[in-house]
Amino acid sequence: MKYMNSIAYKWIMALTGWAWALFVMTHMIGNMLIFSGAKAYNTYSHFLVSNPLIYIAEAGLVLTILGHSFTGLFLFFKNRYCSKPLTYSVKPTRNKGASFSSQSMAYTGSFMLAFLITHLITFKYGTLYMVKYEDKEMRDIFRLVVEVFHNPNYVIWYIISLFFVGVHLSHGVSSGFQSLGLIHGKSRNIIKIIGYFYAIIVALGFMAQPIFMYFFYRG
Amino acid sequence: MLDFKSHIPNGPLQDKWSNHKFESHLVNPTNRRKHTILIVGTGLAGSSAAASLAEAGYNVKIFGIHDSPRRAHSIAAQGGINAAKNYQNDGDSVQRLFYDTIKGGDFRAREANVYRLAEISVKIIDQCVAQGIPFAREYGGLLSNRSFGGTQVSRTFYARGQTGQQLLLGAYQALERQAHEGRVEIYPRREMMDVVKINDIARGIIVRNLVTGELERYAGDAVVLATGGYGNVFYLSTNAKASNASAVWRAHKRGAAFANPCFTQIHPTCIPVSGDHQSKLTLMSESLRNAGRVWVPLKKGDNRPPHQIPENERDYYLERIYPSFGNLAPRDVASRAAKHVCDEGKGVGSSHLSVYLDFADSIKREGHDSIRMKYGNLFDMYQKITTEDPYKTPMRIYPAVHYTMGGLWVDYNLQSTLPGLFVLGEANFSDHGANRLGASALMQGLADGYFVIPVTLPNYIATQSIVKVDTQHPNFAEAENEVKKTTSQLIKIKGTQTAEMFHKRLGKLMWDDCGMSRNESGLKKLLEEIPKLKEEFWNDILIPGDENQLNNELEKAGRVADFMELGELMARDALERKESCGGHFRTEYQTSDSEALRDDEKFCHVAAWEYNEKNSIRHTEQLNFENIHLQTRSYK
Amino acid sequence: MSHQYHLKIWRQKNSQSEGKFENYSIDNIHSDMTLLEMLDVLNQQLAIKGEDPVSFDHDCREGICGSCSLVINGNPHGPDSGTTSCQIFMRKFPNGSQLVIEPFRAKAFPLIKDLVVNRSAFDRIIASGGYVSVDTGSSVDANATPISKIAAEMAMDSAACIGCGACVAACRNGSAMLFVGAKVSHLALLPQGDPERSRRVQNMMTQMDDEGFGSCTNMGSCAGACPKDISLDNIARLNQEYMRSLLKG
Repeated sequence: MKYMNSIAYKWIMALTGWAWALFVMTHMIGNMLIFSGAKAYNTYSHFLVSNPLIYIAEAGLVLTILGHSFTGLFLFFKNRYCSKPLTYSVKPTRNKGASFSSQSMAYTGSFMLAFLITHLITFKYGTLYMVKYEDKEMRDIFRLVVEVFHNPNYVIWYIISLFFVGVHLSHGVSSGFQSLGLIHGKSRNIIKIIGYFYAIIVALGFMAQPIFMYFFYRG
Repeated sequence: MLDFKSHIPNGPLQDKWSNHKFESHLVNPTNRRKHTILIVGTGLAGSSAAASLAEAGYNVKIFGIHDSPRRAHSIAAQGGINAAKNYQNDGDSVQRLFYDTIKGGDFRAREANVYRLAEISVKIIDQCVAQGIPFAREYGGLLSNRSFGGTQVSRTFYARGQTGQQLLLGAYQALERQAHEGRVEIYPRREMMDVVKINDIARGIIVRNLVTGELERYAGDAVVLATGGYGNVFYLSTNAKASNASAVWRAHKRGAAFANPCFTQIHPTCIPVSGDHQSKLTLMSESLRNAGRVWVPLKKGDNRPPHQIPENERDYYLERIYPSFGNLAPRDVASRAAKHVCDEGKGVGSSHLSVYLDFADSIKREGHDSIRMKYGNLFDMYQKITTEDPYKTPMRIYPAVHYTMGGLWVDYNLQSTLPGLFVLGEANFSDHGANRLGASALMQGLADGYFVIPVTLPNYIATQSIVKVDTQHPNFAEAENEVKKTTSQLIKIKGTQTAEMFHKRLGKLMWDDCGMSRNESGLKKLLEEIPKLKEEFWNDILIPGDENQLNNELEKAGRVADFMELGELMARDALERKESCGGHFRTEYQTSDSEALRDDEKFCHVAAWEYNEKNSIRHTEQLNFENIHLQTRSYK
Repeated sequence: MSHQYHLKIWRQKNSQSEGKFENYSIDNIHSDMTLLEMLDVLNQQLAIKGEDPVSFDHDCREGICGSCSLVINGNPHGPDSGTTSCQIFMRKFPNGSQLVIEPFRAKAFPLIKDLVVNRSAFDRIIASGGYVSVDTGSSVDANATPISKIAAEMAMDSAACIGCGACVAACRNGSAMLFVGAKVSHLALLPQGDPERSRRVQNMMTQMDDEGFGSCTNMGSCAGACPKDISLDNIARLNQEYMRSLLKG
């Protein structure tokens, strides 16, 4: 038998997707420290990057994002161009069509990948300001964030990107349950709602930060 | 001279089948794969036969007109399948199923065949459950039963309103399994055009590939027809649009006698015709009569909506006339009663050609949900078609052509008068006499396919010295050329009327004069009308396109041509059978209270017709009732 | 009530030739007619004009055989849920409206002519494992194995699939997961199907992929188009069955 069948691909997508969904949620929650000021934010950031486990975590994130992206793109091209080369001349009416988020996963996903790269360039590999708290020198990432989030173009770009993150997650999280066969009967609707909430929390949580910075933070 | 020996085994009724199985010759397992069996038709009978014979080791080729075997019209059977399991402890037994079936058939079926059917019924359910068919069950995990017309026990097994679908899928899956193992070759989208005879034995078939239009030849050691009934002679029927009689008719022309062609079943519970545009009729399962009560207004021409008609102004005529069976009277009886009240002017609906089937009492007694559980899909279907909600307002129903008890004559071994040609399921005539009881068609199709033919066909192969033939034999070329000739003749006419138009006209003629009731003058008129229609057809049929492609109009024309000839034979048979029995009701022969009046002196026989272009010859096979006493059928 | 409609129908002579839309106008259509009866009327008119009638698959016309396979205004089996093409009535469409009728589209369903496609890939998927291997005559008494009413009902929900292929037609990926899931579920839910569960799901999935069907991305248009309301739970169960087959062998 063939192990790499359509279901195996689904699992790869579900598990790698979930890994990243968990990551963005913790990332969002951690970043909320921005509201507590520079010290808390920078200390948290320093704690993360100075921890030796960071390399394992980063390697894991790189592997899962590569797995997710390549499998996703492979499936997209295989499905759209090999299995269904022709579509219909009229769009199906709503009750028979799939949701926008589910149909646009490949597009929102590709967009997110692009965003991720710019995001890393902007922050992780951005200007290296330093700061000293109680003799401990560490990176002043807070300053960089303040700088970036006072650039209106970047704020708009960031918010749009986060909107797509939300759209992607609104299908992805609950879809993972379906792919792993964890949905039965009535739980379908509950899981769908959980998925929507998850997406909204992540997206709004992240969006709140630049909005706060841009309009209210004048430090 | 055709051979009409029924080959019923000797011995007491109960032992005939087991004795016969023991006496039948076997084919050595290693030799089986050397024998090729051609099966036409992929419904319950065809698929189950193909699967079972392939499992035994024969080399099977099966042909069907659909794109997949699973689409055969057995799929549409709704209500259920009978079996004498007596799981309900309500007094059922093989003996009682046998008795009910003989009586239901108005004493025009062979005792030995019917007994065998009742005996096998028990094993069919075992087989189907083992295949994973999701029959309805009770909370205890055991199988559930419902009642059907013409019986006083609950012996009908069912899978919601889709029993036929589930049974066919079971047989289809068994067939696909054998196809995967390479023991069966499935040929979809093929229509049988002719049977090829070599030394007066059926040795092959000519089929038309419906996609490419090519004619293909197949040779084998035996040919099995399981092509269903001919209800579409009437144009409007509950049969599928592609159901046709061409395979049996062409076999008939090659020497297979046609038995009791006039025995057609009119099903009492169908959705009434709504207009001339209608292309087919939809059945509402007979199981609905378990819960529904049939009535019409007492007053003629009462146009009030049903809920405004008070209880004392309603005529629950089935309960009134047949108190002991009530709404569960057999199909022929219930249909005729509906026609009778409508003829009296009490019919309801805009056409006044329908009666009410009312669920109000059951809904009150059992609750809305319980009724929805049992009949939900049927109610939904009704509402979709008529836009009326049967939970609130009674259904309107009227009888429609549903099944044909007649078919190719077969002996106890299911072999026709053309040696080497076996006929199964609705295509043969053998088990239902003059009227079929509900939930018995599935039983017969599967009995023939799973259990009878795997015994009798090997016996035929083992006892005949079958010489190998291939499709290069001149008889194949000859048959193929004849088919070609007829086809090109049809195409060349390029007249002005389509097959559909002729079919509608034929159907109307047949329904008016050879339908629910018949009489001499009407039948004689019909016998003048059909030849005229036939002549017109052969001068004015219009078939666009050519024969070398997918051509639905050509397919239809060929079938209608055969329907016309068959219709004529039905009329002749109905005319000759000067009695009323089961589905065959001659108005001249009825009792004072309008019940069918049989004539056992003169007509206790099967009428089997031998084809003759000018004048087909009527043969008879006497029916002997040794175990059941011939009596007037009463459901009162 | 007789209505008039503008029809735009896909015409294609055979699998090799190029297809295109043709426009037809049709009037005197009674609102109680079914969509297929309307096509019958059109075909009669075309035939009388000496033109090639529109080929389409149909048979039982009561929604159970699974033959009919039309995409109407972009929806496989038309605008209503839980309905086959043959059970759509013309009263559904306003007088004077346009109906665009196309064949089911997927690479695994090659077109034969006009609106007729070849769905034999489904048969081959069933042949690869969609059955219980039980030879005729070898079975025990039907009541020997009790099956809970709930299991039987759930199995029946899945077994109600009519194999029409609307799921594949509706899926943007041309995936047959709902079809495969329905059969795998039906048999996995019953004790009779248990001994072959692992083999069945693996073989059927392999066959599905080999036939050129796409992969499932949980969009759910299949279940939306299904005329028998086969639920997405069947795909979830299929995913689970595959996992089970790897763990249990």
